[in-house]
Amino acid sequence: MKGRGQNKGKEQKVQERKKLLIRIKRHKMLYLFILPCIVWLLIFCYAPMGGVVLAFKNYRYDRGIFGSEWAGLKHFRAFWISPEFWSVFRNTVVISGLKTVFCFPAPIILALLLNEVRAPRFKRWVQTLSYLPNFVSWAVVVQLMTAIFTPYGGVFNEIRKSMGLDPIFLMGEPGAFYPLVILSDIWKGVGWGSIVYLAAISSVDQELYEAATIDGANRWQCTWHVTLPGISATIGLLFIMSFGGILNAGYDQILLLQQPPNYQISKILDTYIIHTGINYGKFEYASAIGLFKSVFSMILVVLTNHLVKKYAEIGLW
Amino acid sequence: MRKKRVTALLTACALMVGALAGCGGNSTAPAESSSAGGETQKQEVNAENADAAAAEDDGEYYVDMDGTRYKKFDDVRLTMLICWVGKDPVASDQYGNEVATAIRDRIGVTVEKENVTMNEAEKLNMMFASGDMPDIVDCAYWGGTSSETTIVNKAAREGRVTDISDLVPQYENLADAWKLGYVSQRFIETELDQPDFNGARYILPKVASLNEQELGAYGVFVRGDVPEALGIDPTTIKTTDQLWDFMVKARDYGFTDVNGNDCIVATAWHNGNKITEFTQNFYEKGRSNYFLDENGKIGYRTLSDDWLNEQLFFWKMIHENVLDKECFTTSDERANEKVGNGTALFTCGRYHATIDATKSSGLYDAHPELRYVPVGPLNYRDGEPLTELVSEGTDSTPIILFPSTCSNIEAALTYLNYVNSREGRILTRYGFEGDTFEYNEDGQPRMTEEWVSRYQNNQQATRDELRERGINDLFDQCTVIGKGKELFGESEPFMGDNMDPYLKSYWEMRPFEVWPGYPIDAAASGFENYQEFAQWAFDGSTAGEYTQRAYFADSEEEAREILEEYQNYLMTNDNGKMQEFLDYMTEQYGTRDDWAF
Repeated sequence: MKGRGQNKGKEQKVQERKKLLIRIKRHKMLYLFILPCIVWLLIFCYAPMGGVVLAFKNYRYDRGIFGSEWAGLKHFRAFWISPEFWSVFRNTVVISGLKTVFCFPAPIILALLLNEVRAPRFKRWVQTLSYLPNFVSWAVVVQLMTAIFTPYGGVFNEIRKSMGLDPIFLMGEPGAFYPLVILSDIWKGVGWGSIVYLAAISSVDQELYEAATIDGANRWQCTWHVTLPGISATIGLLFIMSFGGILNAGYDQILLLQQPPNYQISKILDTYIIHTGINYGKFEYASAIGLFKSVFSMILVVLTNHLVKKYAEIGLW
Repeated sequence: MRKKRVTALLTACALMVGALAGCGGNSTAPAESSSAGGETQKQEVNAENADAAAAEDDGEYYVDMDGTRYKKFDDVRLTMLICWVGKDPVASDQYGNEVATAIRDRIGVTVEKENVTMNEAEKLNMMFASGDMPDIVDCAYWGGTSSETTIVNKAAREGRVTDISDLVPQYENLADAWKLGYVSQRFIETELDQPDFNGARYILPKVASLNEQELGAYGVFVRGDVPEALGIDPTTIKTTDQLWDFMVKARDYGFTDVNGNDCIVATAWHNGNKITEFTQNFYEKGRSNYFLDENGKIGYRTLSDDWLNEQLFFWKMIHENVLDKECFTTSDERANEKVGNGTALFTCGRYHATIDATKSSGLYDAHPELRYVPVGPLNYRDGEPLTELVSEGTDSTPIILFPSTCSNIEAALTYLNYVNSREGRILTRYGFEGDTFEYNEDGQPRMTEEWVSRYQNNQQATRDELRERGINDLFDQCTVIGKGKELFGESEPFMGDNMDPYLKSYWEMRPFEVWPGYPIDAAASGFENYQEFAQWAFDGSTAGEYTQRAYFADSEEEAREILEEYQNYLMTNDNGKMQEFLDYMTEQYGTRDDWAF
């Protein structure tokens, strides 16, 4: 019985493979268009993965990645026992966590709000304006923030002075660091991030809105009971993927916003890599921290995927 | 249908080619590795020398105005990386410009320069790691554990840099670069001849005799109207307490800048550069980070109470709104604005920078009463007047190095030898006789009146025009031994004796002083695993993080705690290696009697 079942399974697989080949042959032009992406993915994303062995080597410029001698887990151990490990790790997780809590829902909210705008010209205007900050580099954004918040003639402190308050060095206030990170991140990314949700909203069946309206649902109830469930799959997938980047707290933004008073809460893994790894040519150490980040992120993605799949029936695989 | 297929096929191919566009191979053969500190390259270079010697009889030579012979090459093209962010652009035609053509006609070598557009340390790292290296590199080498120094040393040890120990002495215009007096004893022992280099030398320091050097003109400067308004003679300020009172009075007076905005009391240049000029009075005269304590033991300055008190003074400056709170992360451009508009009442660092900022903003000419003037100079703690202490020869310097893939080391050195000759210097800096320069009665080249007048009308446009012809096209980057004043009576074209009178008088107030003796710092490199130890013990970034955090602490107690935490970290990290190191230094102290602190 078992053998027959196995044979049947094998036959089924062969059939499926044949069907796939027939499909590919039939739509070969469309598949041809995927080819450059696959080649790109293989060359730029998969081939460099071989370089992770660098994390286990004592790298020498002349011998290259594969010729350098093995060092085992030496660099990982050096990182874990370094006095800064916990503070750097904690800061990274805190900043990323805050970004997940505040920055992740922001584009969803903006997309829902834009969906409710009935004047198409105004909607397009708002959309365009909200996309623009995405194209401004962090260097310029932080420069603007510095000009606004400087205690020496900045707009913010001029307003405070006109209200009879003393000027403050806001960019250097440790208490203001997280709000500045979150708010600037939202300002820069909310418009661009909303595109994918707007696309998802546009695919929600209009008949569902009509049915809900006939049932007496108001606009808020339509949003809550029709739009949100309609885009929940997209939200779920992006949420899972956002956990993959939990240790990517935003290197350039954080580096530029660092000020002496906030050093203790602003040192993150990426800035640590730059300082200890790249600046001194210790590629192997930088790679070890990078690999640690990747493995940790992978574990988080798998866990989140499992949980989201269990409770919301949405998953990456 | 067929058309569609062809179009689809072509589009897909184009996309694929586009995706792979950056995957070009490196046509340069990778350098042969050498675990013995570049032995292989040394052999290759010696072989080349032998070839050159053999070619001497039947080769073609160029003889310059002083009779020096240069081997003539057959149109050798070399590349040179100028590893300094923010340098002037290079001439757009690096091969065909007039100066490049003239040099090629004489010695058959052209060097095409390229500026970096990214962080210097990152560029060096990428270059050495990928093996995709130019023929010549000009970069910083500030010594010790600075990024570029660490990377260059690693590259040298790992066979990425050519050993030039046997070559440089053969080139008469370059040979002096390694001589004591041009470089210091410390530089020779701890940088040039590192024990694990096994006798090889990899770097060509760019040096100048003391007469050629410009004084750093470091100090504290105050906006001209401030002392007048407060009735204080700034030259009478000699101690930290006097300076503090002066700054507090200035803060409370209510000065405004040229735009009528409130003033900052004191600021600094990029990232708080040289704020220690405010605290010179905390220490005795010396150049070292070490001192001899009352028990005859070597101490490290950062572990002393003097250091702690100095840092607490900066805390006070921040806390009492005297020092610019943004100065530790500021850029030179922003500092220029603050000084150029007269927003900062006190500045520190180089006097040149302060004067230039006010000149380029127009404040210098439009408001002569606001021109910054020197404060003090302060005294050392023992009451001795401040001088600009220098060692006998440079301690840290920009360098030139030749990567192991240099396609023709002999041509590269011949080129540098030529541009460092008198004739080469005249050609590369002054251009062509009768056209751009003429000789004065002393036989010194001077730019023609026409060019001088153009320069006075528009410095930048004139420089740009000359650069496009190859004149002054970053040739400073190729200058190994500075000799402008010795040979031509001016440091560079157009300069003549046009030194700012304020700067000139400050040079007299704080003159050079050669600090004799054998630097105690030089003893440090003999400590076992010194490089590994130095990377954390003398890491400026970690020190900066602790100290700057302390400056912004809410209270003096908190600031003190942070600073003591750092001192404690230094003493306890790596199982108390610091104490071992200091014991070693004390041991070394007993080995000779001419130590300089």
